[in-house]
Amino acid sequence: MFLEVSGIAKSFDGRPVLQDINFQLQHHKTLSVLGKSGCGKSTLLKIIAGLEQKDKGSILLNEKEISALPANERTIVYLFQEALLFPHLSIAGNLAFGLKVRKCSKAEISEKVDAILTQLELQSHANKMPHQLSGGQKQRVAFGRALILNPPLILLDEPFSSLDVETRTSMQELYKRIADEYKITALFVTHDLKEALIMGDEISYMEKGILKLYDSQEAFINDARTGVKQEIDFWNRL
Amino acid sequence: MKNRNHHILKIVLAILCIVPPCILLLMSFFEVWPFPQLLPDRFNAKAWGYIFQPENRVSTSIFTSLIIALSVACISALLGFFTSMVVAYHKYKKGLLLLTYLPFVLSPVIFAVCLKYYFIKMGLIGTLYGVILAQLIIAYPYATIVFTGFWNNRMLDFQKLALTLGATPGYIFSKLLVPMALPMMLVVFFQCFLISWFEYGLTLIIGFGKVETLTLKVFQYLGEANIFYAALSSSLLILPPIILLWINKKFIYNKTI
Amino acid sequence: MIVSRKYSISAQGILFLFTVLPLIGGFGYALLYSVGLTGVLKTGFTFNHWKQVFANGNILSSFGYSALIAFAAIIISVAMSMYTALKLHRFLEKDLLSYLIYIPLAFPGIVAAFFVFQLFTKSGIVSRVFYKIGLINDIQSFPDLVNDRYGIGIITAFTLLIFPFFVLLFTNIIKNERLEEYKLAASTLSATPAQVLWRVSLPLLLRRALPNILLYFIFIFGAFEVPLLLGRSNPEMVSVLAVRKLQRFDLLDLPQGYAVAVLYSLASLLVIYFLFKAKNRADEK
Repeated sequence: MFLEVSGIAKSFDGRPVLQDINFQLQHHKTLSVLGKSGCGKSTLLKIIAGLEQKDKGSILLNEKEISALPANERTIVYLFQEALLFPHLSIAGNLAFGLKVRKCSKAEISEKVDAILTQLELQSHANKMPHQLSGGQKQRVAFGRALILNPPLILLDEPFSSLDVETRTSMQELYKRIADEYKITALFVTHDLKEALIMGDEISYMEKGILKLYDSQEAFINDARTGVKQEIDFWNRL
Repeated sequence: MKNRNHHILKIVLAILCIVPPCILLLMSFFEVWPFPQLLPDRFNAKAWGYIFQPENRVSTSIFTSLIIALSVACISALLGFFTSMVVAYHKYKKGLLLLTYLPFVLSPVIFAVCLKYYFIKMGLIGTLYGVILAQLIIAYPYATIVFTGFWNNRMLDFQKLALTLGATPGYIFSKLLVPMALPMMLVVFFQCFLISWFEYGLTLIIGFGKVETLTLKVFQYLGEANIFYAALSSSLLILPPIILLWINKKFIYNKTI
Repeated sequence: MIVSRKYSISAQGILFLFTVLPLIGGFGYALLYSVGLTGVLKTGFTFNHWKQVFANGNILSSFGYSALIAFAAIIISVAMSMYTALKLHRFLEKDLLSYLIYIPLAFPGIVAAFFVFQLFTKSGIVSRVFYKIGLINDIQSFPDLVNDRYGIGIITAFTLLIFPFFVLLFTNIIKNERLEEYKLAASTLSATPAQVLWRVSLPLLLRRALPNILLYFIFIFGAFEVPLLLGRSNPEMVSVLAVRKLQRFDLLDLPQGYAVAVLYSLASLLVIYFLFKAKNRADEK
């Protein structure tokens, strides 16, 4: 098991947000977490990334406890809903940011940035500034900024929810392709039912601070809480 | 019909903006203005020649104003940036902000007379450093208030994101926060410069009349009923701000509270 | 940002040094002086000076006068600038006007006061124009517009000073709050232009601008340079009164002067308190 999360609990001002989170994630797999707003999914991701402190529990990455590590040493990248491209850096500069932090050589940076630009089909935009790009393009750059570092774990917090339907679909396809190629290990959080089913190799549902992992897609579909049955009934009734 | 109204209003507004400085500048080129003539007499540049003679200390006053304003602007902008970061994310942010508002809002003159005793005790009365310190007391809070608006949730998210990309807090500060804050820093610099450049009452009291800034000169000539010299020094007073404000406009952030 | 503890403490230290310390020091000194506990002629604790301040009609009317002037200037400027902004906000965002409106912002109080003086004094520009077109026959017939009882010159100067600020402020609000869209929405609900103005535009602009309006009220209330040039000795505005009492050689005036300073600070504090409440309400969308 690559990622093992056990017994995570978190309260804000006495109000419990995460109750007792337990799950495991295998190497090179993407786990979808479906949940409505306010169910605590962002908090969970932030705790794993080190951006929030947990009250209880443990997080094992590659069998090492990482809870005591500061966020910048965990090698876990967190992607926000908004692309958050650094406005004063060009697209190439944004992509190179993580590499510059690690003091990579100019040659290496240049090579990797070119490679990522090609992967994401953004070659012509390398020297543009973030405000010149569309929402979907910005998300691609944000994704590339994480990918270029080849992190052991990527956490995606509803990255496509602010995009229109077409862009969202193409981003989903892009992600699946790249996840396959780069053998990414990731947690993908979303409130969209279809997206959860498409993006994840494994799937889970979160409600009121409790996470339920499903063994198979059938189990997920059969659980009334996830809402799949309602969808199917809706289309059947029409 | 509506467009015609707009047009008239536009012209009126434009006139209101351009005419006053032009009148002032024009007045500096005359010597006498007997009633009831519409225009003053004796068009020449004598006033300009006279006023820049060393014994009139106008050039020195410009220099003094410049030194003070630049010092106040630099220090306020830097200190304001540093403190605002702590204020913005503080538990008692609202209370701290209220505190920061007070020195900026209260009348600088009244503040000056209340603090005069301390300045005398510290030996700073009538000195350049004293005036700079006094002006800092009103400009630095302003800088802090403006910068506090920079540290919003989005900025916090930027920092969090950068952390997960492996950057240390120090790296984030120098390579991210400072470059992103640069436009706002320029705006704050300009505005603190103006606060200092225009200050009269506080400078008069703490400077004890010995620290002669350009504003003091304007008042001096007004007191002597020499409207032509007063117009000249007024023109000098407003010229740098006009230039600065035009540059400022390029980096315009929300200038209000 | 989780800043280091050392940083946080030193930043708070600087804040304390430059804000709290002078505030307490200044206010404390003035307070102590006004009750006779410090100063050249300290007599020991006494309320005498404060009694004299309240008995002195001049001082109280000075506060009232300052408030009235501030009200008048604010009302006129806000009305004018709101009108201008509503009519011209499109041109004020780009165009030449957007640059021109910055010129009056370069005017400090002294210069504005001087300019108004030049306009309105008996030997000033307006007087000469009136003479030229025959409205008056000699220099004395021109009415007192500066150093006068009603503070006309002062109010004009303040209006000229804050008008451009409010024009910019309202233009900003119109843009950021998308007032045009609200107006459109209101008119599709069959509101008349007058109703749109009074029920949509004005409330929105005023509510968002209220913190600034209160701020400028305090500024005008405590202004120094303008009333110094354009005011007269009775009634005078608060700052001028305070400085006059505190700079004179009559030492007996000093405690009263400090009492005025304390009173002024308390009055401003009150307004700032309301300012903050208005600001918090304006920020919560």
